[in-house]
Amino acid sequence: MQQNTIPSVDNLPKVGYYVSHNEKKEKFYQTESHIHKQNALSGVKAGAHKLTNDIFTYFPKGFAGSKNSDFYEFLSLGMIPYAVGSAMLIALYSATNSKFSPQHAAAAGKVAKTMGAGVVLYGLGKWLSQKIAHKGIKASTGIDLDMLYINKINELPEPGQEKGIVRTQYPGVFASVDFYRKDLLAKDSELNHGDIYAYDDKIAKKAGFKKELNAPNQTIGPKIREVKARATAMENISKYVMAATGVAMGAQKSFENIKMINPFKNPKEIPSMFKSMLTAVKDGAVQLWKGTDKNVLTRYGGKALIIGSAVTTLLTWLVPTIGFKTNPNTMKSKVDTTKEYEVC
Amino acid sequence: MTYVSPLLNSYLNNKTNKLNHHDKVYEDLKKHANDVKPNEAKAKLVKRGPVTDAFNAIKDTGKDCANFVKAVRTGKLSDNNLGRINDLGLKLGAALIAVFLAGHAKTKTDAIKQFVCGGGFLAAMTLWPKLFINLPARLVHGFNIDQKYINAQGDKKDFFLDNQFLPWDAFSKEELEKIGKRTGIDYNSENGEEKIKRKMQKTALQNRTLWMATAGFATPLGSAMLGKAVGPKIQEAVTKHDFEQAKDLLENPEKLEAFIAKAKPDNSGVKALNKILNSNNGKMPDAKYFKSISEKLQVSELFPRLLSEDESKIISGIQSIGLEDKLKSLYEVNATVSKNGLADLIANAKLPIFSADMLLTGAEDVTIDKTTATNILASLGDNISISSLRTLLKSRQVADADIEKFIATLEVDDSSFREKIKEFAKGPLAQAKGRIKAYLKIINPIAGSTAESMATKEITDIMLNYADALGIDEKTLAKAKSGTQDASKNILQDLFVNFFKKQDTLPIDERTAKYTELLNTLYRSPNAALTEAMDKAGATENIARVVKTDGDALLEAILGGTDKQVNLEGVIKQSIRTKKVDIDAIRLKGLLCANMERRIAAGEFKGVEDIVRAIIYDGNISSLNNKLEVHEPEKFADILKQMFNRNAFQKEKEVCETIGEQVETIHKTLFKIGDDTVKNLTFANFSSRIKEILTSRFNDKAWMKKFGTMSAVLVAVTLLAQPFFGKIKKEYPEKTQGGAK
Repeated sequence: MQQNTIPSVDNLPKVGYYVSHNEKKEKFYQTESHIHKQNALSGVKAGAHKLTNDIFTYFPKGFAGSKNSDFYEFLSLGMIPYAVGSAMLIALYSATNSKFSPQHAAAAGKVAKTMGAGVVLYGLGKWLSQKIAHKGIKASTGIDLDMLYINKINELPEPGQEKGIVRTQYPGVFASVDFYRKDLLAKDSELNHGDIYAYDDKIAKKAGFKKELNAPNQTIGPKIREVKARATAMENISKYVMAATGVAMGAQKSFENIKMINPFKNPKEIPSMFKSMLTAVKDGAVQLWKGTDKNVLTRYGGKALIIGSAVTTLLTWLVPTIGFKTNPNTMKSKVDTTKEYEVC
Repeated sequence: MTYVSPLLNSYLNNKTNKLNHHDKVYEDLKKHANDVKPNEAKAKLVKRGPVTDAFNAIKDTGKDCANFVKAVRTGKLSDNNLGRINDLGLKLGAALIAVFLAGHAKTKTDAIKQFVCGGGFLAAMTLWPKLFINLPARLVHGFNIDQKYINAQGDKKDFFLDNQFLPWDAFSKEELEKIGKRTGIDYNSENGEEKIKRKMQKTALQNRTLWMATAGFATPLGSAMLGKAVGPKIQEAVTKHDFEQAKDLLENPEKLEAFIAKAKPDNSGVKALNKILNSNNGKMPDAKYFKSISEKLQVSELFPRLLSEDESKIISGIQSIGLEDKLKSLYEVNATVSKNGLADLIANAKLPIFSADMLLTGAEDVTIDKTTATNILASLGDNISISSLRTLLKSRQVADADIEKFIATLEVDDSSFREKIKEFAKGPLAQAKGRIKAYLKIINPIAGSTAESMATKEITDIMLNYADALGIDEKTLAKAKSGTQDASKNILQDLFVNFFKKQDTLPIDERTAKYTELLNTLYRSPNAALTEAMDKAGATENIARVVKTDGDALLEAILGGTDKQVNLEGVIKQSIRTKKVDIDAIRLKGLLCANMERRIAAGEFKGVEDIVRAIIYDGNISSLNNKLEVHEPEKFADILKQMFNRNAFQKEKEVCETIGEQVETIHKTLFKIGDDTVKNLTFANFSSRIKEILTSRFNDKAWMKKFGTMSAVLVAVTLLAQPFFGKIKKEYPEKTQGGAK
């Protein structure tokens, strides 16, 4: 008698050309550019990747004049002058202090601390303003302007090489207004949701379209561009206002009292150093708001900066959102369904 | 020939039919079928020069603002223009930071420096690549790596921005040929055009990478160098400007009057004063209450820069004593107790009365009873002031101590007192403070102790003159920075001693000539304008406008003082005079020291050189006094007499006429009288002041050594890297004779 086992997935003979969807996806992800799963650490991972590559890859490639250096690498290099410049500003007030008398060294050290606080809070202010605005825009329009994708570049062979290597980059999906990666969004929707319009549908719902659109990419494409353009224009102003607020806070007296210790010599004191930094930030914010009675600038300057950065960041969220939401009944369709058209 | 269908052909040949758009396209194609060529190049290079650069920068910024509005309104803007708004934001941020930090700056110089260094930072950001990367690249490689072009959409972009997208259409054949000639590649040779383009691409990429590598170092260094170079000049300009303004006001009485009259009243202490006034709990306050009020009404805290901290504390202490009494009497006149129930309180207090009969009758325990109390209070109104109550009880022979004890138990209504004080503080006192502050604005640029006053500048110049005249070098500077004061005293000593040692080898007349030369380099003639200004600032008629009291008793107590020596006018005059004497003493210091060292070198003061030197360099008379004078007062007096002998200063008199009189004064008084001239002539803090000047010079040199070297290395590396860029020989290896073998 023949064994009447019901064939299960495990015992199916591995014959034929059936490849599972997941396997296909994995193979695709290995070799092609795609949008990866975003989480809280995606930005950090991309930043760290850029930083290490800056020093070990992009600079050498740039100095060698390689044909494979592209715009992404040039933009990534932009991190380095900011970091080096910040360190220089601090060093200008601290590097020669060992040669000064204790009194002068202390005075110069105070300025170095203010500089250090200023540059750190500058960068923090820029980042924070963007982050808040983008989170707001994501909540109200569904567009995550910080979305990154993995870009696989097949490089040309360098002189002396046989084959060009495949390089990974982490650009932003919406980095360009004119050419945002809608092809990758469509591919991602197809692979993960089975429908190339899944992403556009999500956005359309947020935009106020109650019924499903036939070709959502036609309507939503321009909308995404508008949101990105407005958000970029506004945040290019608001992030600098918040950065200026950060520098102003760093100039407050509370930062002169930070306990600086050498982290390698006494690692035990690191928590207390961080604690003194946090108190300095807290007190600095209060001092900035209160100001001093010296003149009109000192009395209201701090308040103006804090309110200004809050208002501009809020506008960076609001302006794109207002332009995004639409009343579907007022949308004009290009095709007038009542007219007759000649078809050639 | 393009194929056209017969149907369309007949349709086209039938000229009566008007062509629709669809057919028009076909017709065009048919016409131009044989001359297909590429479109005209839409990209155009931008040719610029330095003048048009600056002009274009302003125009572009205007365009950026317009583009910002467009982006917000319509949401349609290209990537390039969105990126330019980032630069706009950067400039805005820099301006906000500069304005904020300028408002917080402690001195006018610092405030101006914020803008200069802020602008310098932005300028360094743009000038570093322009001067040290683009310019050398142009000279070495023959083309502009910062080339801009205008694309088909009308945007101005960097040509070499994206290494993998270079719109070579913008370069015409002639331009590439020209560049090829400059770099030694023939355009018409094999691969010539490709080689030129590759060389340009590679050079531009390498230079832009160099820019990214060096910008972080260059921009802060450039801004700091600018600050160091420009800072002293700004301070000088600010000092001169403020001095001239102050001088002008002092020389024109009407202008001065107007300036002081329009001074804003200073309400700064009123809040704290109100807090203290309201802290009393409805009973007769104690002495501490009046003391704290009188402290809040003082004006000497306005003088921290003119007086030393100790001096101002002493003065306010003295002034507040007299004020406390006045406040107490004012209180008692204005604070009232209600008559209701007062008679009972007096009776219950059992205030012991002393009457003349008691001695005779021996009666004890006589107190005011209720009826007597009601009677004596009948003549007074409903609210009785404490002073009238006090007079009343005193007239009844009650002892002062018992009156005090009784009053301390009463419920007092002091609202009118508080009102009066508040009105005073907000009115006459605030106005007086405003006037004082206005006058200080005039005094400080002339005789103040801040860095931006003419007096400080004069003293610094004199000290720098000494440093230069005595030839202070690196080693001396390093010694000066070590903490102790002795180190700088020894420096001065060494310098003078060495000078005279060198003289030993010369013949006498040369020695005299060299000595006179030394005196001339040490002495700096007085600054007549400054002296005149200081005199005017201390003139009674000028100060009178500030300290006028208009008969207000409290104001008189505050400004006039109880002791005529510590009134405000006296304080102002004293501080200006002290500054004047200080400057004179510093000026003469060099001559005194040279004189003493010359005499020591000639053999005078054998055995007491140390004492002489201690007096002349340290000026620390008091400790010397204690050591010598207490034990050997005659010896000390003899030394002083010998030192300050007018006849020993003939040589010095040739250089400075007035030194004779001052020496004579010391000789006469021997420091016994606290005369300023005498004190300052030797006290003058010479050692510590020289130490300050030398230390700051040392710090500057040490800083410049480190960062000047760094800047030089950075510039050298950037310039030397240029010839190594753009080498493309390896990518185009020489073709050897080959072919299939």
